[in-house]
Amino acid sequence: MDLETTLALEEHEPAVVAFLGGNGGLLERDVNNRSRYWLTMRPRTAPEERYYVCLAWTTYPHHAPSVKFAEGVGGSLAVTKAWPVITGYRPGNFDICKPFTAEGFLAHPEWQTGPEAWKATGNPFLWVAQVLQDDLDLRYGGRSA
Amino acid sequence: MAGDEKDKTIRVTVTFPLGKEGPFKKELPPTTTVATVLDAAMVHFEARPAPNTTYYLTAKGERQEGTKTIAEVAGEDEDEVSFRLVKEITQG
Repeated sequence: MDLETTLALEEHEPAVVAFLGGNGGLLERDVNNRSRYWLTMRPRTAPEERYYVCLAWTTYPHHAPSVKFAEGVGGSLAVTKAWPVITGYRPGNFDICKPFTAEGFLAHPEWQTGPEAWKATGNPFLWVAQVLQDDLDLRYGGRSA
Repeated sequence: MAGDEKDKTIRVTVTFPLGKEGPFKKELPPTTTVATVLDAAMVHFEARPAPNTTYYLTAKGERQEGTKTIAEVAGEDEDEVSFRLVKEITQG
């Protein structure tokens, strides 16, 4: 992990911790891969549910992270039941086809420019966490089968 | 007193994680609509409308309609309210 990524993540991480905590969630940094985080999140309308997001940065803040749902913190990333039902989230492909993930930009190269382009300003880590929380709060359709 | 009511303001804060600037902060009359706050916040954060892109404000975990006043969002006897500017991109 390059120095800029290390410093920027350390600077932006506290705001993400505070945001997730305020929504009943949790942020944990992977002990074996310092550019990877595990987010524990819950939908506002289903607070008994827990979802575990594996968020892996390559170069922060310049590129979108890989975003996948896991069966638990440090758990498998290939379990469809770990995924929520939300438009653009594809449990069968284990990816999110929206312009805030590495997988989305890979599937749609045209998103590299225009309104969908990745923004490296401010705190993109917090923005990604807020997009995920908004999707869980406002567009949640239950747990994938 | 009526004069006090007339002069009353609500402290409004809007945050946006992708903004180059810090939070938008302003004291506004209670009758100010959410739509007015949204417009001012978008100017502050240099957020420009674009095809397939929608901006809106959330507060207290919910999307706030533009026709509501900030007093309605803040709640009775509250003199401050915090919003979050959300940029939503409809997928291609």
